[in-house]
Amino acid sequence: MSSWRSVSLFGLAEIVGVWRRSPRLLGVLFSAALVANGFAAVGRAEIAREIADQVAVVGALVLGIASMSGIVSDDLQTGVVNMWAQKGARLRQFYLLLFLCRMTAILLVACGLLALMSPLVWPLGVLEVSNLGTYASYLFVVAGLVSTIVFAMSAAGLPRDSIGAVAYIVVSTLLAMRVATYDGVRWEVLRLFLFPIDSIFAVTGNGGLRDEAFSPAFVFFFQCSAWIAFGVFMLKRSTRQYL
Amino acid sequence: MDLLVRDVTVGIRDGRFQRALFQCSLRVEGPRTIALVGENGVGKTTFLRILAGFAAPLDGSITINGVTPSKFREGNALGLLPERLSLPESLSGYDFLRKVSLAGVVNGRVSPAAMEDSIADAAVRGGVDFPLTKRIATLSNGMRQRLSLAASMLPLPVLLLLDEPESGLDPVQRANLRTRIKTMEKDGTTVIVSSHDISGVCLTASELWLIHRERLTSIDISQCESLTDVMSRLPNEWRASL
Repeated sequence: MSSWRSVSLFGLAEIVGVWRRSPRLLGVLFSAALVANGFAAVGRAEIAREIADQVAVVGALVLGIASMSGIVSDDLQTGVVNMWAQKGARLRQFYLLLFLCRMTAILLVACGLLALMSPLVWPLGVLEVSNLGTYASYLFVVAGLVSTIVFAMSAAGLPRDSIGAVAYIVVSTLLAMRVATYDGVRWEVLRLFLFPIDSIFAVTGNGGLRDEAFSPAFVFFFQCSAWIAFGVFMLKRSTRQYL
Repeated sequence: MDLLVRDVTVGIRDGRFQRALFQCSLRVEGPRTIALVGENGVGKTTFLRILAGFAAPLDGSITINGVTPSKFREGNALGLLPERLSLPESLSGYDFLRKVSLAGVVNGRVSPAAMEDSIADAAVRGGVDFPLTKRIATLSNGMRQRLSLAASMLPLPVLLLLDEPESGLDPVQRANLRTRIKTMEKDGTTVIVSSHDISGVCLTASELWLIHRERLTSIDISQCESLTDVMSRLPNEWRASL
């Protein structure tokens, strides 16, 4: 038996499952991208640009949260985790695989959104290619980071993982803005653990609140790695507690 | 199948720590249907979790076919129907069975080709007589229970642990479940059914495991034809407690 075939089969089912779980959300995002094209076609370039901006900004956040919500915590609360475990699945590997599948689903949706918005560059000429590049980096980076935060909260067994993630993002963004002007190593280290609003500004080409000590790429990599490591650590505890 | 319980001591935590079993030993060879009975809170569920390898005894050892329960579970030869299980409502019955089956596939325990056959077989064995395309949110409690039972039999296990499987079933479905359990024994599966209601399970079982006052005792009831027969084999103090 090919293990690759097994994993591919599983992955495909999970990716399709993400889309089937949030049809309305995806419908709204894809429709909004089409509406932006419609406005551009009738000469309302400003409105088209505004809608495209919102699709990227709101889409990244909502996509990251909705796709990953309940990935572990739902199974823990309902007891379904017993069903996976009794079939010989090693739970940490199993959930990491689910996480990767859902990340792939997010990536594919982001690519779909970009493809739908690409007529705004050509033939409609409302956006520059660089605008689409900014949307792409924003969608991939922010949706990816937000989804890892939700995964970690879910792995910790938080029943309302998406609310926990939103609360963390809001509170740590406010804190990050408050300490943005503070200098010193400890503040730089603290900022590494807060939602990287400065790095997001830098990625989108809007300029940060201050000159960052670390590059945006490093900050995103560090944060994603830290949240995944935290999630894996918590998985061991939470699954043992619920089995 | 060879299940060996040797000098096992089990503790449960129900508000405060208490001992459920003390130095109990048992052996089961070959496919059997066993009714695990005892009053509420004596540790039936905890004992089943230990047999499934989800918890460890305080003392003593358990082996299934010569390996520990957790090793045995990794071989995908175990089925467990937990007492409290809420199925994911957004999925259809088929999607749920497929996902449970894929958990074994990911671990390399089931071939993808065998998966579809395994799902169809488990649905029949579990008594799923409604369309699997129906969403779980629209299923009744009895239908969900049968779907859960089917999921625990993916693929046909060597050891099947059923924790209060009759809850939520009407009398007809209970009778059907007992018939299916007997069929599984004939197919080579050892089934351990826990219940606090001895009358519900003893007619299905060939062996009775009683938990009472920290002791686990096995009684052969294969020759019993009625509940009265079964009760006559029990010591007086147990009869009163049941």
